[in-house]
Amino acid sequence: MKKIVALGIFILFVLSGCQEKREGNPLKEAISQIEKETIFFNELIPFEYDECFQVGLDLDENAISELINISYKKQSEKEELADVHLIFLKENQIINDYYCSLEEGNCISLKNVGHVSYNDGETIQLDRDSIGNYLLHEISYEELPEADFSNSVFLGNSKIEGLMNSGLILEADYICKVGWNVAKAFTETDEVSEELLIDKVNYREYNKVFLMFGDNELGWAYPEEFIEDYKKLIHEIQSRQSNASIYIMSIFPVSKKIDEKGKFGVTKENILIFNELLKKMCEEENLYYLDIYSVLADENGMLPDKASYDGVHPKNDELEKIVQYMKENAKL
Amino acid sequence: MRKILCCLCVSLFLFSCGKSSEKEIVLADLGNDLIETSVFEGDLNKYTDENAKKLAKLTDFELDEIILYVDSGALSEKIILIKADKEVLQTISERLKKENKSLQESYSSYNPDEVVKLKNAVLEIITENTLIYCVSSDYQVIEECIQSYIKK
Repeated sequence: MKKIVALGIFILFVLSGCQEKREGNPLKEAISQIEKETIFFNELIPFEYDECFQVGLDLDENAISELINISYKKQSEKEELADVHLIFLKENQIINDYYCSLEEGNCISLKNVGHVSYNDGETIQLDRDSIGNYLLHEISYEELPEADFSNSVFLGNSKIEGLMNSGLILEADYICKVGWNVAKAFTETDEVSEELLIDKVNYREYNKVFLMFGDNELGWAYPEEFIEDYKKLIHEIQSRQSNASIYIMSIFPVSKKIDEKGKFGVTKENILIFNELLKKMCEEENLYYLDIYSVLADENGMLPDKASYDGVHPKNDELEKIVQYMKENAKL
Repeated sequence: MRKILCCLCVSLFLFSCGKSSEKEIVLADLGNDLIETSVFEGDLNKYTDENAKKLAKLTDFELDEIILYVDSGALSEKIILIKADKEVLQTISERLKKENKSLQESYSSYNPDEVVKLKNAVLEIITENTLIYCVSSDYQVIEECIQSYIKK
């Protein structure tokens, strides 16, 4: 019979914020945190974790290994056999976790096999979402640092191209093309390499995918077709980036002049209809909806004339507002 | 006699051109001159080094220097100034031509005014190691600006 004390060490990988705060050796700080045993979540942890440490540090692989060893040692000193479950988080998303058995002396990554906790020798399959929900409860959304876009990719039409060229989020990757729409999601190619744009999603693993489509589809006779095509694209991205959060950006407002012209179906009325459909799609598909429309629209629901050269594409000042909104609303 | 004079004139012209092409181009200065012309409708954002390479989609090239001015309001306006080896510039030149053509297609149904700008883009290797690509509303002004800079 194993004497198990399940020790959950929750290490918050809040990269940007922590890097700013961090001074000295992060590993030493982490060890110091463990030794102080300052943070206990006994009442809140829904599973078999008796003790839980929260360490706000950015650790590399070597540091993680050493941390595991220190944790073992500490539990050994207490003359208890310990199982250690380390969960590495970034902005509340589990990016990796390890189960370490002191008795067996090994440590395995559980990233791809789901959560497993050991209680008196029994193996229990845990619900990954439950842990996520607990953490969301413990750390309020407002307390989370602003969104980090370094592992993000933006896909979309000329609006995304504008965002890219603004240089406001240079750390992200961009897959965009003027005139791209969801009907051409799987056929549109890069201007130079002629590679399918959708295949660029495979370049690396992202934790956030932002999608901006709809402007070039406003003239479609059946908006439902837009949603159906959009869903196909989303499902494809989900299959290629299974760990990423998906954010759907609303269609931006246009100027009064553009609305009155109504060319290619670009009117305020259509934009509102499409945005409602997008919002509904996000609810159904469990995606995040970003209401950029409300960020840019004036009291009449229009893009102010001074906010754009062509009444459609926002100038840099407006793009800054969008980026700030996303920093505050795309933290997960 | 006239023929000889003509030959002399042509030789002198070519010689002077050759001399001017050897002028050391300072990309930042040329960029400033270009941006000060009033042939850009948008407010172009300026980038250098890695950011410029990334946004110009030229990360796979070995460049000595790059400056990019690009519009964020979905206009096609752009200035790319590059210093690199001659062979590299040739390859980049071909790539920019291809990109330009593709952009013309993208803009054709969407903003035809931009197609005109793209068709009239200036793409030149102005010295052995310097390339300029410029999409603006008046290519003649841009060409005059380049010549004026070279003759400075």
